Parts: sequence; structure tokens; C-alpha cells
Amino acid sequence: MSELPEYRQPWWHRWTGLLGEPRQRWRALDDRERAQARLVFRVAIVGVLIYIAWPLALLVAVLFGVNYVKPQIPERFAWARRAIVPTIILIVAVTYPFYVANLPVMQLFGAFPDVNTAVIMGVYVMMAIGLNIVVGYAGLLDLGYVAFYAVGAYTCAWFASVQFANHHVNFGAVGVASTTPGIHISIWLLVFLAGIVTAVIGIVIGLPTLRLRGDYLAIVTLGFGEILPQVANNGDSLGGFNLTNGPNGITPIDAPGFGNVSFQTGYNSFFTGPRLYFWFVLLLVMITTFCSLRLRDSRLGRAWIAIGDGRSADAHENVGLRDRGLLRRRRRRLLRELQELDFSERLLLQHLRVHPFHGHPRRDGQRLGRHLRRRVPRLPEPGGAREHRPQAQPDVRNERRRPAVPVRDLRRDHRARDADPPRGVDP
Amino acid sequence: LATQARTESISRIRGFRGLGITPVLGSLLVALLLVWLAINLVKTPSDFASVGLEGLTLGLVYGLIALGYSLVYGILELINFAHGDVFMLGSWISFTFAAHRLGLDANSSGFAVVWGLALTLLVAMTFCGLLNVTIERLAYRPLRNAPRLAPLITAIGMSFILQNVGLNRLGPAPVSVPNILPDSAVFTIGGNSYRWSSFIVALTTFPILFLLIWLVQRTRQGKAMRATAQDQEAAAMMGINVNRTISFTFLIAGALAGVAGLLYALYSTNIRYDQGFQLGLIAFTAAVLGGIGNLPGAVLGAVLIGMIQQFNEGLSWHAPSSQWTQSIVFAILILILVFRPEGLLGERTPEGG
Repeated sequence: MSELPEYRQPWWHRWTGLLGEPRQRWRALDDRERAQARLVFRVAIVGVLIYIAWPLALLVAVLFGVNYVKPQIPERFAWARRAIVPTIILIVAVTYPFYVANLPVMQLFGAFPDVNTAVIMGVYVMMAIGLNIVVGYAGLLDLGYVAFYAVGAYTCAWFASVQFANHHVNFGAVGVASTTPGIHISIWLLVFLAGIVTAVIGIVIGLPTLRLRGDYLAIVTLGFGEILPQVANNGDSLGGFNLTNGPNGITPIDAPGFGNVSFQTGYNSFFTGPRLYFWFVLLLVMITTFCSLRLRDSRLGRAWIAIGDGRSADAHENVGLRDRGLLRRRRRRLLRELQELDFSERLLLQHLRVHPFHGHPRRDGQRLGRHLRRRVPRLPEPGGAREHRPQAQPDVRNERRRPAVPVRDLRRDHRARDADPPRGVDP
Repeated sequence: LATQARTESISRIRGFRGLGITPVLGSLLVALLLVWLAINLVKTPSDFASVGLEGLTLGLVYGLIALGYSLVYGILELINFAHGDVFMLGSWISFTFAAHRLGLDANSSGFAVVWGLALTLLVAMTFCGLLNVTIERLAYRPLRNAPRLAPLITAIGMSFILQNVGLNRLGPAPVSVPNILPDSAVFTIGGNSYRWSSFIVALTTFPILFLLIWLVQRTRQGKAMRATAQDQEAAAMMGINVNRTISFTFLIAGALAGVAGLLYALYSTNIRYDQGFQLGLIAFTAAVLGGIGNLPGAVLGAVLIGMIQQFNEGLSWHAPSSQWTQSIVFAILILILVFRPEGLLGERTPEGG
């Protein structure tokens, strides 16, 4: 169902709001109005933050202010434009342990998190970055993602604790006496090992479920997310073997460290244990962020995003992404019809209109059209021959100002300013 | 034409598939299950019968919830995660109404129990139905044209909200429901009695199922529901009020959840704020097992799941005990989704690839 004109919308939509309505209004503004609106929003946000806690307001005000300074930076220092925001955030983050004790208590939210809590926050940030790859880029709703977190944690626990007490391995572990039973491997290696093991588990879970899409994938992952905790919970006697130590869990796990300095105890009053953990996590967050961004821009990342977009477009039409069979059947039926009937261009056009349904961006329709153009001999035109030439690709640089209007965008023409950049050209 | 014939024959050859590994593996699993059941039947026949009956009863409760999932999925293609929690609130309202407002307990007379429960059933159905309609109005309808993930995630959020309402009303501990029904047995099988609290489930569920089938297949509104499920735009063009039809579907689904809530409270005599999440997932599994969107399939799947659960927990010979129930149910879910996404009775959908 397409959107109703405003006078047809029920009155309560004004209050409940249709999704995307604010976005439409935003798009209707011109650059000057947008700048003004942005300034108002930013001042309002900083005002609220001043009420909550002034250091937060200061930080956010500086970050907002940077946007107004950026255009003033001369072209020669273009690198500085890109670097300025990350640098500010990095400095604020790295020095966090030094000033956290002096920060005032926030309104509504209580005290600023201490360094130990910040470590947990960093861990969650990494998880969110990983989830963003699956859900955000590739558009696969993974409701059991946290199970991977558990797999990584158990991998670490098995190889750096007293869990398997009848083995006796010590490989670079810090702060563990050589007589302690169990497997103790350096945490630095385990960071990679946990990543690899979790990735393998991800592939194992992913392979059978790749055929599923959308909701079904969400359910399967939810199922895995329900099974894994139960396995961990009952894992203290899997055929008599204690794998996970049941509900008690595996504890204690060795701390990371260098030489003889363990993160558990710290080095001195400057390099205390929590601070070392914090900087370690910060480093990992930086690495994961960097990798995530680079992956997004890589060939693989663009493929992910294409899959995500394609899937949401497919979901509109309920036709499988890989359902070649349907496409083949449809194409064959069409060809048969075309051969049996005394076809005219009207019929052809009719089919092309019908098949790229309802104006959603689809590949099927385009592929079908391309196919047909090759298969079907050129039609005699009533008013003389017209060349069947593929429509020119829209100029990508200019598409915002001058949207090339493919056939299916015609009905959106009345709000051409709002139109999304066209994804392709209709055959 | 020759080209076409050749293409067709080639595609026919390509379309031919030998007996793949999937059906073989599936039949092997089912065969193992049947052998295990047969051995149990021979060893302890009386236990087997009573456990099976209990499984049927539990399955009917699951079936009522699963129907709600199936109805909503059929019409909107939305997994209504909040449905389990509507069911939980149905348990809560029936408990509050029957025990506190009507004051029913173990000492009530037969007359009071029958009419009291009938009234409670009506209240629970109305409450849950209207609750479900409200949820659809507030949470799902504004997202009708949004990307697919948005309503799904909204449904999860709604589920959490309802769960917290339940936590606020019921408290974190399980609340025990007074034993309103007589404790005597309806009949006994080999020393195991089939209690009234189980019997009332079957007594209530079957008429409701027939009513539902009649509603969907024979009435005008049911026709509108089926039409809307097939194609919303076409239905709208035929003069069907799509929004009202969807609201009506949510009303029916909610009412079924209300019935399930009351029956579950009577059957298990224990309600808890997070029962909805757990049972909702199991019921959803049942709906998927039967073929989601398919109403008889939902009931069939639910009965199967209920029996599997009870056999798993009740049988003595080599049964993985109740601590593995959840894993078994979800393993079934995953296997079904991976190997036969259309379910037992469903038709093949493009979602399952």
C-alpha cells in the first residue's frame, strides 16, 4: 500500500507518526534551513547535557563546534579535517582513568562509570561492532549473536584456567605458578584463538542457515541462542565429562600481562590493573573499529551491503534472492506466451510493467528485461523504426540535483526532491 | 521451437534430483525416535499412555498459542514476539479475576466454579484480544510500510514491555493459583489418573478450534482474512477494509492467547512473569513445525511438540530429562527450518530458499 496523501491520512498519524515522515520533512528543507535547524537541535542537545553534567556538555559542544571550524581549515591541511574528531575522542578516552575520579555526578544517570565498568563498556562496544557487520551491513537479523560471545569466553576459559586439572600446560601465562594444574596459555594468543574458534563456530552455524532469510534466519539464530546456554548450563556432566562446570562457571581465569607484570595486580600506582585492562580494551576497540570500517569499504563489505539492500528489496516482493527456479519458470512462461501470441509492443511493455512489480528496485525485472530484449526480435514500429538502445546510465555525480527519472519513478515525480537516487535504469 | 524443446529437456534433466542426503537423514532421525518410543511402550505401557495423554493436553495449550502466531504470520508475515507475553498477561488476568474478584478457590461449589470459570474465560479473551489490537494499532501499524526488520524488532521490544508489566503485577517469584477444579480423577489409566485440570483443557480447546475453523472458512470476515493474507492490495481493491481485517485477526489471536492463559493457569497451577517468553517460543516452534500460516498445521505441530516434551520428561528408558527439553525443542525448530522450511503441512515459501 502506498502512502496516502496527507488529507487522507487518519488524524492520529499526526501524533503516532508514520516512520519516515520526519525524514521527508527534513529533505524538504533547503541547505540554509537545514543548517539553521541543525544549529537549533545542537544547542538544545548541549542545553540538556549541561543539565545532566557539564563535562559531557563540554565534550559534545566541542565536537559540534568542530563542524563549524572544519571548513575554515585551509585545503593544505585537509588531513586535519579528517583527523580532528577522532583525535579529540581518542585523547578524551585514553586519559579517562586520570580524571574520572574528579567528574561530578550526573543528573538522572548517577556517577560516571569507573574504569572497571568502562572495560565492560569497551567489550560491549566490540560486540556491537560485530553485530553491526551481521545486522547492519549484511541485513541478517541474528538474534543469537551473543552466543558467539559465550563461545569466545569459554574458549578463553578452557585454555587459561584450572578447569582441566589433569592436564598440565603452561605456555607464556603470566602470574601463574608453574605447579598450578590446568592449561594455561598466554592470553595474547588466546585473543586470536578465541576469535578463530568463534569464527569457525559462526561458519558451522552459518552454513546450514544460509538458505534462510529474514524472519526464518532470526528464528534459527534465536534457537541457537537458546540451546547454547542450556548446553553450557548442563555441561558439567556431558557423558560424565565436566566441560563447562555447569551453572557455577569457570573461575578464576588467568589475567593477561607482560613479563612478570599481570593485569590483575598492576605494575605500580600509575599502571594499575584496571587502567591496564582499560587501555588494552581501548586498543582492541580501536582495532575492531578500524577493521570494521576498512571491511565496509572493501569489496567484501560492498557485497554485504548489496546483499542487505537486495534482501530488503526482495522481502517486499516475497521472491527469493536465489530462487532462480521461479525466475526461470516465469521467463519461460513469458517466452511461450510471446511466441504463441501475435505479440505487439504493447504486450511486451505490459509484461515489463508487470514484472518489475510496483516500483521496487529489483534485479529480476532488470535481468528479465535484458533477457527479453536479446531474445525478442526487434518489433516493427507503427511510426517507423526506433532504435532499441539501452537508456544511458544516470550521471552518478549529478543524480542528487537532477534525478534521472526511470519509468518506475514517474509516480514519485511530484516529490522528485525526495526521490532516492535511482538504483538502476529500467530496461 | 527446437531450441525451446532442447532447453526444456535440459531443464527437466537438471530438475531431476536423486534421493538426497536430507530426506535419508530425516527419516533416520524419525525412525530412531519411533524405535525409542516403541521400546518405552513395551517397557512401561501404563506410563506411556498417561504421559501421552498429558502431552496431548499440553500440546493443546501450545496449540492455542501457536494458532495466534500462525494467524498473525499468515496475514502480516510478522513474527509477533509479543504474543507469548499477551498469553502471560492472560494468565495474570484470569488469576486476578477468578481468585481475587470472584473469590474462587478449592472450596467453591460446582455451580460457582462452572459459571465463574466461564465468566473468567470471557474476561480473559476480551482483555487479551483488546490488548493485542492495541499493540497492533500502536506498534505495528505505523510500521506497515517500513523495512521488514523494523516491525520484528518492535515486536521484541513490545514483548519486553509486556514482560515488565507482568513483572510489576506478578512479582519475580512464581505465583501459585488456587486449585479451583476438583482434585478427583476423570478416569484412570493403569494407576495414573487423568485429572480434571487436564481434562478441562481438552473440553475447552476442541469447541474453540471448531469455532475458529468455522470462522475462518465459513464467515464473511474469515473470507476477508484469507483474502488479505493472500494479497493485501488486491483485497483492498475488492473493497475489503484491510486495516479492520488485520485488527480483527489480532483480536482473534489475542482471544486465543487469553483462553490459553486461563487454561495454562488451571493446568499448571503456577504462573510466572516470564512464562510467556518460554512458552511463546515453544508455541512458535510448533507453528513452524506444522507450517507457519497453516492453522491445522499449527495445532498438529503443537500436539507433536507437547508430546515430545512430555515423553522426554516422563519416560524412564533413556530419556534426556527435563533439563534438555529446551534444547530438544529448539533443535527440532532448527532442523525443520533448515531441512523443511515449509513445515509438515505448509506450502513452500520463498523465505526458506
